[in-house]
Amino acid sequence: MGHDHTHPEKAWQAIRTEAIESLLNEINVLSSDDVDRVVKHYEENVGPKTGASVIARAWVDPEFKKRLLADGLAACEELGIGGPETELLHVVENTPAIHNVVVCTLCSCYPWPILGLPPAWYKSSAYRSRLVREPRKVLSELGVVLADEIEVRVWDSVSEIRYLVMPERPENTEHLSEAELIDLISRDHMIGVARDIKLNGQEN
Amino acid sequence: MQSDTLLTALRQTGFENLTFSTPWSARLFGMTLAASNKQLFTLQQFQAALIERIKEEEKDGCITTDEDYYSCWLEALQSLLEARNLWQPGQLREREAEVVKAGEHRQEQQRQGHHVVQPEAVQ
Repeated sequence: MGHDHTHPEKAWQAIRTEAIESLLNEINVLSSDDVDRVVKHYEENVGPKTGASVIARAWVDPEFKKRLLADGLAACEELGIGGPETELLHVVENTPAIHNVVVCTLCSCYPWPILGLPPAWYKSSAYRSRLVREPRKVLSELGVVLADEIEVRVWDSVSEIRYLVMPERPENTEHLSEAELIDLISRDHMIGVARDIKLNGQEN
Repeated sequence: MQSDTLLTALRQTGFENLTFSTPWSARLFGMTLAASNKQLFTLQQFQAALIERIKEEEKDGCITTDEDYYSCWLEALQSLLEARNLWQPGQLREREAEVVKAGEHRQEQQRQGHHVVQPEAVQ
């Protein structure tokens, strides 16, 4: 460990990452600009708001919603959203009788171009191992207590398919604009670890 | 697993605007996607390597932090690149030593600069 906070010792991961990047630069395989572009894109342009804009559009445009449920990636492309990182996007719709939740049990596959980067807990062994085994229990611990009659569907992103949960549009939101609807939808709604959407800034 | 980990993580603020928790994980992520764009490997190949690495890691313990996870990511990327023989054996280790040395050199300069410049600046 560093003995002085002004010059702490570098983590081995930081050293190796820098060394690999430097070697790739040197052999002209990858330039720092190539890397910068990806990082900048993910830091500045992509995040849960991207996914929320897709969901809000589906809420206000039934034809778009049909297309989104039929072929998620193609529908997202209509909005200029997507990228080479996602092969197939399957949008799963919550209903009064069904709750969907997404996990990746083997690693941490996540629809990056739609939701940005996954949160730390999504990648944790705890979430990945427990959600499939005891989804209702895990969901209730996360504040989503589901009535027995609601079916829980757990989607495991083990193949090339990425999943996005479409939460139900809350009642009494007919007067809201698409932009206002976007603000209601959080990353957790689209992973499925949150269900109810409350108005007036109340959290689920 | 204790559920505490999950709840604690979820309750932590800052995740909503999460990008990368460390500068190196950002570079690592960027390098992986950029390398795949350049067709050094496909993302499916990367995913398979990552799954393999995580499986190994979880034999001994759990992944609880971003650092644990991106460490697996780093080793997965390293294994894919090394499988392509992009550099000589030992070259990466040498480069790591150079990175450490360069870092120490920068720190030394900063330290010296700090000690020399500051008294003048104060006056």
